Amino acid sequence: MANESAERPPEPEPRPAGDAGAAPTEAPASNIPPAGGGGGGDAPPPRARLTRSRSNQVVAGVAGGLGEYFEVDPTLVRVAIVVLTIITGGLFALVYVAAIIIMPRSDGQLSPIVERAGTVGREGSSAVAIVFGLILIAVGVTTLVQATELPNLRWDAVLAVVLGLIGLAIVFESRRGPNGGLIAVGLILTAVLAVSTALPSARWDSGFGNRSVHPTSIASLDREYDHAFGSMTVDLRDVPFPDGETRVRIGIAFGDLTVRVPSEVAVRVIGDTVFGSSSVLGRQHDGIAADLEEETDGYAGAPRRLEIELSNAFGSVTVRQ
Amino acid sequence: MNSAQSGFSPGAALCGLVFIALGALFFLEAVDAIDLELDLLLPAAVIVLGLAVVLSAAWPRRRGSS
Repeated sequence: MANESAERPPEPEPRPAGDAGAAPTEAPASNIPPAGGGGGGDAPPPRARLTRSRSNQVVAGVAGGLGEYFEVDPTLVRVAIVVLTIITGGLFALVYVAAIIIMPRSDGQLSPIVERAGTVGREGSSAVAIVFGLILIAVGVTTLVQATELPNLRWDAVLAVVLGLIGLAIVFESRRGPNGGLIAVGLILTAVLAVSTALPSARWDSGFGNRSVHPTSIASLDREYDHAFGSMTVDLRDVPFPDGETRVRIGIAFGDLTVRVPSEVAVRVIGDTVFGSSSVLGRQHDGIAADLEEETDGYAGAPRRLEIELSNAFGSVTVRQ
Repeated sequence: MNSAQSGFSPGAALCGLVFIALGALFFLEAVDAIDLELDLLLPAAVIVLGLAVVLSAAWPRRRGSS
């Protein structure tokens, strides 16, 4: 956070958004639409718009814009975004990306996606704010439920509900014309849910970065290893597999996966990849939506068998001894 | 609803309905109530979204000609 303060331009601003106590009733100047107000004494004050701030921008101006809209210190908003991203295992970053796409800038410039998709930012901005609020509520409720260990909510179920709400907002807004921002967010959510559905063992809240696991006993061997983004290595060479068949599911959404298997155990690998290459037990699989099915010689009659179910959306997969 | 004066967009409405349907289907899949066949569902969704685009493009012309 110290870096963020250092990056802020030093020149004085007419009305610091974080200084809510100093001027609680004054709307931020950059948020007032120029054509909406008029200067009449009895005219209602122009409504502040939810926009990305240009004067208080660290990454894309989302936190600055939210701070100006709700009259809170943008630094607090940034801290909340970082905390929510950590708590949700990175998933909140999707909300941030969606905000960059759907929130116009304070100077009226739209994101390229929204500009191509249609119109947003006039009457549509209230619907955008409502949907953004609903997404925040959904993320908060899900995180709260998971923290209290009540019935386990899955993120893809929550995202599906959000997609339905966005659909409702689009239908509602269609009376005034197409709302390109909402449609863009709906398309992004649909893509995320489609990949999530295609790869059931790759959980989006399962982890980021580089991960390496090396179980050395049956007790320490998990039946499922999931990773969201990054690289993962699962080394099974030192596991004393018992007689019979042992099954392990390994999934990674985006990144490289390496699985090391013991040479003295018969191995069967099944699964699928969406985009990327894979090398499984010495055989190469390339292309889109490749099905994996490889096994070592004599697998069916071997006394000790290891069946690995793999799934990978984008990246490479390597299974070798 | 006075669609001619309020700028009603049938394409956007259809697009919203598609998202509602997809949201419901993805939710049912997430709670293991159904098993989605994505290779059938996604092309169907793309067809309906394409229809929405066509409707959006055609609607103002029809409104202006009447």
